Amino acid sequence: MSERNPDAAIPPGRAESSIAFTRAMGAVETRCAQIRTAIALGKLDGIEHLFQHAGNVWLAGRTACRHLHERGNAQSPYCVSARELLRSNGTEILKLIDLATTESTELQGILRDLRETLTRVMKEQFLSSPEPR
Amino acid sequence: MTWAAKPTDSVPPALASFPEDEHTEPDRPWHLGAGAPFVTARMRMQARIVELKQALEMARPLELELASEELVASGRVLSAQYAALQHTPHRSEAVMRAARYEVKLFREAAASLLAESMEFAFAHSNPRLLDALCEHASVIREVLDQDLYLHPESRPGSER
Repeated sequence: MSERNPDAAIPPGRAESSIAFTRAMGAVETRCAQIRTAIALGKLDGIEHLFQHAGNVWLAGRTACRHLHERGNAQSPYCVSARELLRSNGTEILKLIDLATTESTELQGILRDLRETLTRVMKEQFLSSPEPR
Repeated sequence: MTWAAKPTDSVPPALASFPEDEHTEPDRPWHLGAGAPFVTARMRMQARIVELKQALEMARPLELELASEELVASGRVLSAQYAALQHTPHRSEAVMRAARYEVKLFREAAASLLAESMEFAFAHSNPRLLDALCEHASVIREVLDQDLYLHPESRPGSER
């Protein structure tokens, strides 16, 4: 992720999607670390807010990634590694949801909608297709 | 491509087929008296979506926050009116199918625009705006819950 994408054709007044993407993924990773810690300590009260936050910032990151994909070269190393990171972080959130819901059945209902949303979005073509080797 | 995947559009395509003035088209199912509050809520939601999109295009954080708050308020009203429509006696299945589809479109449109707005907040390092938008995105998911519209004909991926 060290190579900067030129963020070609950025609409007027909008900042670079690459900056937004990097920050969003950083925020997702922070939230995931907090969720992992909370689960490990058995502190599940209010954990749904951490999940909602992680899911929302991941969705923001996915929007930024899609913009990079649309504005730049989808097969550039930057875009490929951005998609890879997005997929990996999305998978991590889903794994943590599964882990949390096995600890608390009450969370199943609370997190069901977020889980379904993320699962559906992860199947989008630009995310689900394997990277060329 | 679904409408939600193309956030530059301001209005869901399904809505474009509906007339601006509902009351001039008496054969539309929406004209049944019981559907009128849903129609009003739908139009308000549509207006809020356009406002949010405009605020995003103009890159104005305060307007963005305000517009997203109003979008959430309109989402609550739409959800309530959809529920009221469901409990209306003699409602037709055609009306409910159309209403479900619109709720689905609005949910996707709102989620897509809020995600774009969060992208803006990240890019401009605006944590206050980001927190507000995150909260609003969660509320929209909650009030326009997928259970409101999910059924075999409208499940994502099976749209015609």
